[in-house]
Amino acid sequence: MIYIDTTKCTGCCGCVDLCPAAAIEMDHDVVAINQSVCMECLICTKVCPMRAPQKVA
Amino acid sequence: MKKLYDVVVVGAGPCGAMAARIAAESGLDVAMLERKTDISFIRRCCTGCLGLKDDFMDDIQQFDDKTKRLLFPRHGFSVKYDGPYKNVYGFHLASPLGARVKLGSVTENKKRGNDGRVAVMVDKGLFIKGIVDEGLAAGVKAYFNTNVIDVWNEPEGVVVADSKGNHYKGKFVIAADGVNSRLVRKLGLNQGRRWLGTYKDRAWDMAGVEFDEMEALIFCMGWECSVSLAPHVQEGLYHVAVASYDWKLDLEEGIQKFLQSKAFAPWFKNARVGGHNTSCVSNIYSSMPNAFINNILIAGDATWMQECAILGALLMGWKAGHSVSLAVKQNQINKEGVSDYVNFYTKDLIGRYGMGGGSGIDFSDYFSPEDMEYMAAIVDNPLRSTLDFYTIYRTISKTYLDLFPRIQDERPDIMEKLFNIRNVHPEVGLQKRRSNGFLSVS
Repeated sequence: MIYIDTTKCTGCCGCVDLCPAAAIEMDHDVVAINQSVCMECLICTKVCPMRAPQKVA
Repeated sequence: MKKLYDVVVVGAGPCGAMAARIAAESGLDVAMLERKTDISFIRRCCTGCLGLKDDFMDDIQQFDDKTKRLLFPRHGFSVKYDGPYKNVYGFHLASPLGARVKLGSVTENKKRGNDGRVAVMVDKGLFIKGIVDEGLAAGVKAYFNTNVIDVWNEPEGVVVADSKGNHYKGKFVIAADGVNSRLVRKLGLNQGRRWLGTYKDRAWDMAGVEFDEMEALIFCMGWECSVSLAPHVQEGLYHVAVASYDWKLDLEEGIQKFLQSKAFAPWFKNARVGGHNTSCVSNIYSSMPNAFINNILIAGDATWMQECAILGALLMGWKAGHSVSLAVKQNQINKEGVSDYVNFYTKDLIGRYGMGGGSGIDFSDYFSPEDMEYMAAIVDNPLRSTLDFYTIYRTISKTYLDLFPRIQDERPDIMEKLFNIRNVHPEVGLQKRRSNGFLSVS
């Protein structure tokens, strides 16, 4: 599962834009992952300049 | 039946906000969709710099200090901005050892006051909010907190869908959803564009930074992560940004190497992070050959190579807004109806600038820090004052062409490297960038 550390996230939406599954969106200015859509491709963990998305068991 | 807007604008950045405002002021029924709720809080890295006085996109933009308006005199419009601003007096390239090539001496230009500036830094959030507010007053129906995920054509109009299942239908749609535009991807318009890599950026607003000639934009060459510095609109703050196309590099480590280097550490010895952090990811393509398909106009960064900057975005938004207004008034809901925008894009923008593409060559792959220091130090400063990137490129090329005999004489080893670079195939550098990037496909 991918978890976004909101203390690191700036809300720049890079992950929202590049997620191939459109599983991430901005909700009331907070970036959130829809776990039922996420494919765990890990692109968000690689593109994030803040290293906010992390894979957790 | 679903409400049919005259135009649905996707994105409320400088381009979308401008397009929506112009269309509403022309009497059109306008919907504007934006994923943020706090439009004035900037989350993506931006220096907030408005380049002035050099020909950019066929205009010579000015900022009038008395009326507080940004002027586009050749196109014939202006934008109100009464927030704080700060003058910028030049563009500098810094070698890793500290020598600077100066396109504009800050000291000299500053003596001429506002006449000597090449740009103004503005509060981008306030700037956009000003345009959005004017649009709202003119009747724009704004939907904030709205993530657009799809677009398609139906017989009576273009439909844009958000992630909650809401549909917005317009006679026209203006896609102003930025460099990573989802609409552009959904429409398949990135196919055929040259993909140049995925860039990620971080920026810090720092207090206590101190060095000579600070009121310039400074690009620092030769670092693993590229570093750029700029004055901050807020007094006492300074903007420090770092970028890389290689996802494996840690930007925090990248900036620390720079801040602790021998040449630059003295500038930052009393520095501390003072403002809020921003970051950014951009998938970079060459520009689109044309910016219209099936009653959808593409505008701003969604069309452009690298960035068209705030000025380019405003201009495209203004043109798209007017063009759609004319088409709706004439009830000509097709490509001919918006031919003003279609032709403006292909003739004035692509015709002038081409589609770009870059060679992607990294200077630091070929030159040592000492080489770069030598090359920076031999330039007879200051060069022409400008902040237009095309003029900067031409000015620097010309300067070094003139210096080649001297370099050949003094440093034949560097001259040989310069010749070698000329023989490097442009794809070599690009391939390196692409292999570290993420082509977005959805």
